[in-house]
Amino acid sequence: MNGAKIKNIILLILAALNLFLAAFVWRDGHAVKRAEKEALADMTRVLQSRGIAITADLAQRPGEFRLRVYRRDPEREVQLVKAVLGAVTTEDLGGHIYYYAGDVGMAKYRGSGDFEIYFNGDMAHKGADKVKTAEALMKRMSIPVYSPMTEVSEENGTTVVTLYGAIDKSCVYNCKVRFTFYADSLLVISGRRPLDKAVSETSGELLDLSTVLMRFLDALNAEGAVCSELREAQLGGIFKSSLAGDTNLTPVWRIETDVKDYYINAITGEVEFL
Amino acid sequence: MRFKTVHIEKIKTGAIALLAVSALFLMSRAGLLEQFTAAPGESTSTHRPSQTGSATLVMTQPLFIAVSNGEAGRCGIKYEGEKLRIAYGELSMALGEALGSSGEPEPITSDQWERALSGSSVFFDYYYMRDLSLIAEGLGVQTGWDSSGSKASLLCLAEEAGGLALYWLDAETAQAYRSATALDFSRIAFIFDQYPPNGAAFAFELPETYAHLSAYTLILNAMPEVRPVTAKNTLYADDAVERLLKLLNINPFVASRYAEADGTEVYVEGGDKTLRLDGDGWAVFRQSSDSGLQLLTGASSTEQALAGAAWELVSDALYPGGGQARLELSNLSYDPVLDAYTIGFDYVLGGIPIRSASGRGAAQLTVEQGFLTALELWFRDFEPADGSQTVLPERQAAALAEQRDGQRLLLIYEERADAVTAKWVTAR
Repeated sequence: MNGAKIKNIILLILAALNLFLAAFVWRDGHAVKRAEKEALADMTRVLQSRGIAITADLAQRPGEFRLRVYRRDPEREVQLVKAVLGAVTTEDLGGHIYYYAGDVGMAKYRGSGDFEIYFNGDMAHKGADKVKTAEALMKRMSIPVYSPMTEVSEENGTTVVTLYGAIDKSCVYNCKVRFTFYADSLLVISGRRPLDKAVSETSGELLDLSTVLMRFLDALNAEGAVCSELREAQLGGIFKSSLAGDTNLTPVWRIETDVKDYYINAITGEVEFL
Repeated sequence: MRFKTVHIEKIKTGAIALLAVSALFLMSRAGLLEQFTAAPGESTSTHRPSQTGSATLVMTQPLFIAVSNGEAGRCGIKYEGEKLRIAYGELSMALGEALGSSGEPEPITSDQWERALSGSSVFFDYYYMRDLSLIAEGLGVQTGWDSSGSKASLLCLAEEAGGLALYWLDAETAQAYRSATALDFSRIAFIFDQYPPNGAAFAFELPETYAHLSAYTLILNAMPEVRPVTAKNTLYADDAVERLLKLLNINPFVASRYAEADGTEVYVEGGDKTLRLDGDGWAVFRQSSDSGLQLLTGASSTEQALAGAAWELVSDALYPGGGQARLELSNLSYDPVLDAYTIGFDYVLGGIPIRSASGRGAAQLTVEQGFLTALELWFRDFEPADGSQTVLPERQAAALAEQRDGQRLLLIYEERADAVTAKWVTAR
């Protein structure tokens, strides 16, 4: 048998193998999707039998979530502080707390990503449109904003604008930054920021939504809580920090009910508390 | 024509290569490739200790926490594992920052210590003495002063004029200390709404007088639910013995092996290494120092490093042991005369330590001059069962402890004759 014929046979075998494997993968994927859909329908029925009306869109399939690890970079941090406060002096207070002070104000930045910035009264940012003022400052601090979650509250002349950070267009639920205005003057910024550099990135296999809803139900049972409406199920992230080490961006499902929000870890199914 | 044939053959070769790569890709998508890449006899699943929680959390988490909102009252978190884990998860950052930014400590009076406990504060009871530097390093910080040798079983973060001060008590010397920190009280203020008072009080705050019981024993007003527990001996489950032999560098083909009259299996290697495995799930290892496993090296000679190495060894040896119980550091002490460390680990289920009838916990190690010379392991799985166990209220247990001159009071699960029951124990 000459070489050409052998090649033809090999080609035919490989083509058939590819067809078979492609069919196998398609059938497998199709079966998984069907099973997920059925499990979700079952879980929906269970929730409804518990008196929980579902107004959330549960049919959505979230995109892939990248798991990232962030690390603090003191040099970059100083630059970000200067972008808001101008020239500052730096003092290490210990416990990974840095104190920055300048003419415009002072700030404390922590190893976990938590921070506070206080402006000297006459140096405070002023702006009639407080949300725009806050968003502009988030940009200076290199924190992308997840606009749909913006909150504004007013009381006794004080306005608090709360913006949520975003990564890859997903909301990071504990990357919450509060801008406190008195009249039109911004006096305080406080919250948590993403640490300065991503040092690793992996993709993770996430729990399907029916499993997440089961864990949500377990959490309700464990608390003895009662809710009557499931309003939204949204995949986002939270930062899980240690003082000196890295911060992990962990995927979580936010389950919004008429009582409160629950956060279910999308990998382990554990209930997370922010 | 010949050129065309050559051209076609090249295309065929390219197509073969492409189809081969495509087939490999599709096989990996179908999960078929993993079956061929796993070594014979090996599972394709990742082999990791099943103990949940990081080693850091294990080594720095207290046994009890109290959240005191001044005159509004106090919430004591005892014997509720999940609640403790969540509370400590929320407070550990503040504790680490407080330790890291703490100034030079000053000794204080017991009145000052008690005022701190009774004010707006959070209190951490480790039950056993811990070196402050171990807690600090475990939380990723270093104190600005030399905290090695500073020991405490009780720590407190208390409000002081809008700031937060760090207090601790060395129970052995009964001396309390205070350090200023760089924290504002707002750092922990969020916790008071989350943990409303549940009537917990320190012994010194109660109307009854305790002459013997430690004044800083946190006493609950009402006991949480205590579930029954079942236990299973896991020494001869799966490949536990093979894994243990490998961890201890005992070659089963070289070591002498015999059985004692009571069925205890004994391995002896080299005349200085002995491992005894009894039918009750105990593994007892002895080895002379200067050989074998070195847990403390010159490059990493801190207690934190030692605790971490001990944790790795014990959790690997007992893997996937414990069942629903977590493995937690109970004590780490140093004998300067022998230059020897003793490190103990407990199984803890629902926030309650588990002990054998002989009073021993999950593991105990002795490390002399950096080398492991003794190791005791208790191979068990513990699972909570349905229902609840009746337990004497803590205040009554405290009264009984006082009658027995007991200084310390602890609820444990005790395994005795295949039954696991919750009981109060007292210690001097």
